[in-house]
Amino acid sequence: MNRRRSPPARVEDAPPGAEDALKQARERLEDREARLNAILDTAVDGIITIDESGIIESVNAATQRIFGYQPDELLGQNVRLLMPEPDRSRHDGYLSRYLQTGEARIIGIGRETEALRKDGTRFPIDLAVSQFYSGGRRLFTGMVRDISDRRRAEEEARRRREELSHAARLSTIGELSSGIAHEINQPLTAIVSFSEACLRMLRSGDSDSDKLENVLEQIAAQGQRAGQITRQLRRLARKAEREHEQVDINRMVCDVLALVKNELETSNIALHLDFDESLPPVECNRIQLEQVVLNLVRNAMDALADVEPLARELSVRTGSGSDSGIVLEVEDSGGGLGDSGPERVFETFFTTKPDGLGMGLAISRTMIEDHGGRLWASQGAGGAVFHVAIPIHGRAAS
Amino acid sequence: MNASGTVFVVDDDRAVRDSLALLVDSAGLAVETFASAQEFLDAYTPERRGCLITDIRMPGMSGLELQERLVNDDVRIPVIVLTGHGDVPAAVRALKGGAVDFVEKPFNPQALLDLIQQAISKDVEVHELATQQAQVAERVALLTPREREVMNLVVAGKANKVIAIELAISERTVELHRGRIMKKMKARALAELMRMVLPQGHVGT
Repeated sequence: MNRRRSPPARVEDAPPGAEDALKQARERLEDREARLNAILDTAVDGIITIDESGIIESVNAATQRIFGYQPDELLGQNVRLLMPEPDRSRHDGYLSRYLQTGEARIIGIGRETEALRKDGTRFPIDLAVSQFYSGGRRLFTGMVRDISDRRRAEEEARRRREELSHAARLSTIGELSSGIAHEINQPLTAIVSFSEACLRMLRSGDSDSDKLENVLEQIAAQGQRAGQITRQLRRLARKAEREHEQVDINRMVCDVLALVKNELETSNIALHLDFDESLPPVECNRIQLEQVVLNLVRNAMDALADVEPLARELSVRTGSGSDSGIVLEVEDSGGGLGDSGPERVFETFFTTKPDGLGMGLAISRTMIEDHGGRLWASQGAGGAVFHVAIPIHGRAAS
Repeated sequence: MNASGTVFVVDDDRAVRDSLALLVDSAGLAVETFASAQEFLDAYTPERRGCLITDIRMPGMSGLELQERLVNDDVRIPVIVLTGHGDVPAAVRALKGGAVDFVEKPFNPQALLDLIQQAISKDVEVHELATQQAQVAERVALLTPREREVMNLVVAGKANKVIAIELAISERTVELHRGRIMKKMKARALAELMRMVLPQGHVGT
C-alpha cells in the first residue's frame, strides 16, 4: 500500500514514562497497518482513496497493475487522471455537488463505468465508492474492478447469438422455397387434371361446349393463381427489411463463408479469396446481400460436386467497379454455364439441379436490382463466374 | 378390366379436388370428394368398393394419419397418396404403411388414372375373394361331422368304394352323404366343389 507521507510523530516530545506506552501503541499500530496493507495489496480490485478535492491519498498494488501507473505517478494527483472524458472534466463537479447537497450518484451505490489506463486505452469497470472520516477529514475509497474479460465474454455470447439467428434467417429461404413449391404445385396439379379431363371429353365426343367452357375458365383461374404466388414472392423479396446500413463487403463475404466453412472443407473445395482492402463501405440491405452471396456460393458448391475432388476451386473476389461502385465475383471450376447461356440461368424455375427449384438466381437478381445494381453471369476459364455490381450509395428502396 | 367402384378424393385444396373429380369422371368412374380426412371417415362405409386418393399435407388429420387410421380400423381400401415437393420421406412412410402407390404433384393424369383402375380392380378382386370365402365357410358350417369327413375324402380324389372301406360304411351311404354335401355346398359338379374348398383350406378334420 502506498500512501502520501504525513509528518512523523515526534516521540521526543512525550512526557517521561509515557514513552513505553507510546512505543507499544506504535508497535500495535504498525502491526495493524502491516496487516491491512497485506490485505489491500492482495486484493484483486484496485483500491484508491481520495480526499474531498479528489486528490489521491493512497493506492494499492492492484491499482498499479490495472491502470499501468507507478504509485508516485498517482499519489497527490487528481483522481480524474484515471477517467476518460466526459467524466474526466466533470468529476470535480460531481464531488462538489455531493459535498454541497449530499445527493449521492455513486457513493454507496456503485455502477459500471469506464476508466482510462496510462497508455490511453479505455476499459469497462465496476466501481464502488464509500466515504469515511479520518482525523476530522472526509475521505472517499473507490474499489475498481476491471470487467474487460466479463464484457468480452458477454460480447462474444451476444455475437454468437446473433450469428445463430442470422444463420436461421438465411436457412429459412430454403424452407420458404419448399413451401413455395407446394403452393405452386397445387394450381399446376389442378391445371394438368382439368386439361386432361377436357381432352378426354373432346375425344369421347362429349363436347358439350358449356361444360368445356367452364373447365377452361377454371384452368385459366388456376394459371392466374400460380402467377399470383410468384408475384407475391417477388414482393416478399423486395419488402424484406428495407433498412439500409453501411456494410463492409469483404467482412460480409467472410461472414457468409463462415456459414459454409465446414461444407467447403468436407467437400474438398479450395477457397481463394482476393479482396480489395481499400473498398469503402457500401450502403445496402445486409441480409439481402448476404443471401445473394450465400446463394452464389452454394450454386458454385453444387456445380463443383461433379468435379473431381482435387480440381474443386472456388474464388471470391472484390474490387472497385465503374461508376464508383463495387464489384464482387464468385467463380467456380465446375462445368460452367453449358449450352444454357449466361442469361437463361436467371430465368425463374430454370434449374440444372435434380432437386433445384430454379428460384435462387432469379430472386438474387431482383434483390441486386433493388439496390440499383446488376447481377450477371459469364463463362470463366474453368467454370461459371457470377458478377455482382452495386453502387456504394444504394438506391433507397421506394 | 372395367371394374366398378368409387374413387374417393380427399384434398383440402378445392381446385385440386374439383379437377381430380372431373378427371376421374371423364374416365367413366364414379367419384366423391371430401375436403378433409374427417369428412371422408364420416361418410365412408367399409362395404363400399373403390379406392382412396388423399393428399399428404392437410390441415387437421394428414393423409398419413388417415391411412394409419384405416389400417388400425382394418379397413382395406387401396390408398393412393398425393405428395408435394420434398415429401419423399412421407411418401416412403405411406408405402410402408400399405399405400398402393404415391404420385407427386403435379402428376401425369393418365398415369394416375391407370393407378386408379388397378387399385379399384384389386379392391374388387380382394372383396370378391373375401365374399366367396365367407360363403364357403357358411356352407361348410351346415355340414355334419360325418359329411365333413366324407367331403375331405372326396376332394382328396378317393372313389366311393375306397371311402366306404375307410369309414367302414356301405357304398350306398357314401353316395347319400355325397348328395347331401353337394346340395349343402351348392356345388353342381365335383370340380366345382374342389375349387370351392381346396384353395381356402376349409377342409379340416
